[in-house]
Amino acid sequence: MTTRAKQAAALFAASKTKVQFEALATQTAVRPGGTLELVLRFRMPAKWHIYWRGFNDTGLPPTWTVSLPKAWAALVPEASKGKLAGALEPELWPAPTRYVSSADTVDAAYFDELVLVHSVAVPAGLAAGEYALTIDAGWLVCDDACIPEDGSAEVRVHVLAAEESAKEREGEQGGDAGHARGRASEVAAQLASRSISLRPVVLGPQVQEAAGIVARRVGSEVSIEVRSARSLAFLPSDASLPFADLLGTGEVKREAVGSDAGASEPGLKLSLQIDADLANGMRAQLGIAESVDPVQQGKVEGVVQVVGEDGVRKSYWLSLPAAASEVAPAR
Amino acid sequence: MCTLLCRSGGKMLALVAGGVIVAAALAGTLTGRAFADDKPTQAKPAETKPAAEKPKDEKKDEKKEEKKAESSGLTTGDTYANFTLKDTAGNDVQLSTLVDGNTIVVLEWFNPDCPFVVKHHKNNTTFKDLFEKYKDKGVKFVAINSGAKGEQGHGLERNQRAVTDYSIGYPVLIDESGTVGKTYGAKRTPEMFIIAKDGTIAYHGAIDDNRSADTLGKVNYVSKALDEMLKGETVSTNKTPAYGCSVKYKKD
Repeated sequence: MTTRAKQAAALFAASKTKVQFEALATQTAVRPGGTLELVLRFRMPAKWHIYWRGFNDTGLPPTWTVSLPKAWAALVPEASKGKLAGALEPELWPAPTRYVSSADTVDAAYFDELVLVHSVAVPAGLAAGEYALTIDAGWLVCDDACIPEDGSAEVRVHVLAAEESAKEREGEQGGDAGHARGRASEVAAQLASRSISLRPVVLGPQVQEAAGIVARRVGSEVSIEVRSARSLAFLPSDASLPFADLLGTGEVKREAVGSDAGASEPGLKLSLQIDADLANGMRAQLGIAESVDPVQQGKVEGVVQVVGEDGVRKSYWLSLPAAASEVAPAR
Repeated sequence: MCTLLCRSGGKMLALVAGGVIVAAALAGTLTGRAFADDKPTQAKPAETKPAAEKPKDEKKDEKKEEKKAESSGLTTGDTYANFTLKDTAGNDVQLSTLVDGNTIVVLEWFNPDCPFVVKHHKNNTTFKDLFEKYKDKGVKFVAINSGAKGEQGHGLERNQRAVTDYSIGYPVLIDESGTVGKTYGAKRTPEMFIIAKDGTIAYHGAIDDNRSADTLGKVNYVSKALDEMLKGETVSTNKTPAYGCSVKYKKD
């Protein structure tokens, strides 16, 4: 067993929950009117997984709430309080993995680790001082069985006086506590940066050109083509119109080389069908009014996953808002 | 989200029960919906006992069809598939005797230890309330556990205990081989099918509209569909994405 594996085994053996949950801040000190970046880290034992906000057959994604100290909460406008309930848009999560279970369920899941970055606004009028924020999270972790778990973590942050500069504050961090906080924030910053780099790249025209991807939507048909790849998959988000048969049509892989003549074709194509009955049943969830055709009005969005000829997996964020739309390289 | 009808691909829909294909594998452009014209009558329910012989013309491409059948299933608009399974008291329950032309039958895929099942059977009384509300209105309920040996929530003893602990007033059937679950294409617990009096599936999907493991939804889709059916109305929401745990089928 490697040192890392031993450490991981010890970590999970000592825990009451399967998932190790922790929260950290990327900064030790924040300015009033600025943004505090909270890093939420979920670590799973081998084979266990948690879920993305995908159009999943099973499971559910983790949820969390951020409790602010009273003085801080009093300055938060009512309209933005909802953000503290841990709503993070699907495209802001790291790209998940397509996971097919032994029951042929198709889910978008995370194995090993999930790191989320949740930004909290620091009110402009907040008085300087130490503040503690509590993050309560809940998640469903599954392997052969599923277990609902929860956890809580506290993040302490120093809010600077309006005139105080970050530089002056850094100069104060000579003591042990300051040093420890500094290390924690450094780890958090590294995790945040890695998590952000794992987010799917938005499929704008230039990205499409470089990646060789063409996505089209006509009526209830959606097609996604890639010029050259080993495999291609689409993982719709939970806000997307629903698709029929993601097990059968959500992923295509190139046949092993030499199996037949067609194997030499480098390109791959996904042909997906929006499920109109399901879309109808999901009107409320998708926010689509009774008076309109959900297939016409709903959006198609999710993660396109491409494993290239070099074996490297890349993830892209695809959004096709209208019934007849196309995202294709500029000509 | 799995939508089982489409999985038939419009090309073939083979129903496997008791290890035997009991409905024709159809070539051409037939969809699952077309099975509405092929209702099993009360006089001649589709047989599911392993003793049944497969018609000769289906033996061609058998392997391919069975593979396909594994990933297909039934959904709204399809005709129900008959089966016989033992309940936790050891009694045989044959579905075709319940679908008698006067009765609506609700099928619930069940695993007593799945947190989403616990949500509706233990932490809340969703299923108990449903049963009490409709049991005297010509609606019968059946729960099916398709978990394989050794999997979570499996076993006669565990399910007998669940019937008592959760005060389940209807039979819980043991489908250890997963044959019935796979015929229906049930993938989650709970996953609901409502079979109308004429044998067609009138609703398929979730129990309610809150996909969490602890909070109840605002709309109970099964109750809504049953109310509409009992009034002779069309079921307005006839298909939703079921949510929950995966059915713990035997691993290949």
